[in-house]
Amino acid sequence: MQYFQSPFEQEDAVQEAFAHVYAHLDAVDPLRAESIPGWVVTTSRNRMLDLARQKRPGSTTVELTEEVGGEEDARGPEAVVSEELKGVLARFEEKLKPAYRSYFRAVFIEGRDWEEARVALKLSRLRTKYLKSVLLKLLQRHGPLLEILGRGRPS
Amino acid sequence: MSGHVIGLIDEVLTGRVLSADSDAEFRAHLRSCDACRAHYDQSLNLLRLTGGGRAPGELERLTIRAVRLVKPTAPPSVWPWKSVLAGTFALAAVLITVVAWPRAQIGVVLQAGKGLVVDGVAANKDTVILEGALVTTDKEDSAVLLRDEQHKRGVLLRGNTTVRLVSMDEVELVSGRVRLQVKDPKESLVVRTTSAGAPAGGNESLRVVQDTAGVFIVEQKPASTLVAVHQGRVVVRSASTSVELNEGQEAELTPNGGLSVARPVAGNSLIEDRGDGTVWGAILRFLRQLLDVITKALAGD
Repeated sequence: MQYFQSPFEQEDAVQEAFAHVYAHLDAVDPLRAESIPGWVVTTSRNRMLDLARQKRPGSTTVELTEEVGGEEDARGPEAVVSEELKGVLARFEEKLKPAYRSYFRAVFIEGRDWEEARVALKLSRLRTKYLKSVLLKLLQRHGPLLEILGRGRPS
Repeated sequence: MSGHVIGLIDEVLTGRVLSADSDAEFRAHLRSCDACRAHYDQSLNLLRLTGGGRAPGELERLTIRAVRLVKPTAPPSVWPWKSVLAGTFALAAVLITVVAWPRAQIGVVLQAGKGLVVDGVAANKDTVILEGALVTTDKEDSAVLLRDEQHKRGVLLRGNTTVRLVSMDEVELVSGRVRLQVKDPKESLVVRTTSAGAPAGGNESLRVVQDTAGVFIVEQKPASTLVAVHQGRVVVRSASTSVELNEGQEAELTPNGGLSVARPVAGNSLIEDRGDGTVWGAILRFLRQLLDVITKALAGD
């Protein structure tokens, strides 16, 4: 993950690495389980290095294995979860219409999956499609959240 | 895919499942379009931020994509009528069975692999096992704990295994491989296997009796049945002969009914962490490990 800063690039690289592992399964003896995890890790890491070099031709392996920026920057947005964020989310929730609030609470406060929350609240798929769209758009426009996100993102 | 796909990005990040072709097209567009990629990154970061480190549904989304990569399948239909129909039939079957034939509880599911079925119904951890239950695993392993007031027995079912748990003291292996563990035997544990192709409860081909503490495995192979002892001692009986196996020994029953003599176990007879022997099983294990790595990485560990 440390080779790529963009979440999309990270996902793409994992997918490429997985496809590479799958394409080279002939080299593996499924009965020798003890060697498999090491092989997967090494192969995946090498593939990610290849991809990183393709994206940034001038970089070297050493540079790529170092975190870009300081420790604070390398922590990513997930590390910024704090009292401040909880407060922002609470105020965001308060401003929501009751119809949106229960779904928001189920997913973002109680930590349920989208589908799990839909089932728990007995909502139709069409209704949840609309709710998801509205909630995401509201979140994307919520200034305090964007501010926290901006502070937490790697430079 | 032309133009920006902001709406589609939001839908994908909030749980929409694209077909394999559409997903490939979608990702190709993101690679080439800076604006859409920036929106994808920002939305995902926002969802991760508000979701406490991982965006809601993120792991499921990555899992579906990775599985499709190696095993393409159609996206789930909007109205899962097949599942509803199957569920209704299964429920009816369970109700009829329970009402018409009450059975004693002999254990619980300790660890449920994906696709574990007990008496025709999908089972989870802590599902109750009744006397005579037919338990089937799919690709993944599962574990069952047989217990009563006096003793406990562990049964590890490998992938693609079917067993009938006749009672606390009797297990019938229909197909696949089981590993049985007994800590403090009060009664003998018997494992029966049936002839290849015979229905459950059919002609018995092999009987394994364990009356000491220990661990042993029984595996139905295409052309033979293998019994190997990890700890303790068992007695293996076929129609014509019997053999006693001690720790580190194995014996094999051939299709003509002949039972081999006790011999030292082969290299991998007792190794359980070897997948189901298929490449697909190995892939699933890779996938789990990869997803664990991804999850930890996303959580910032």
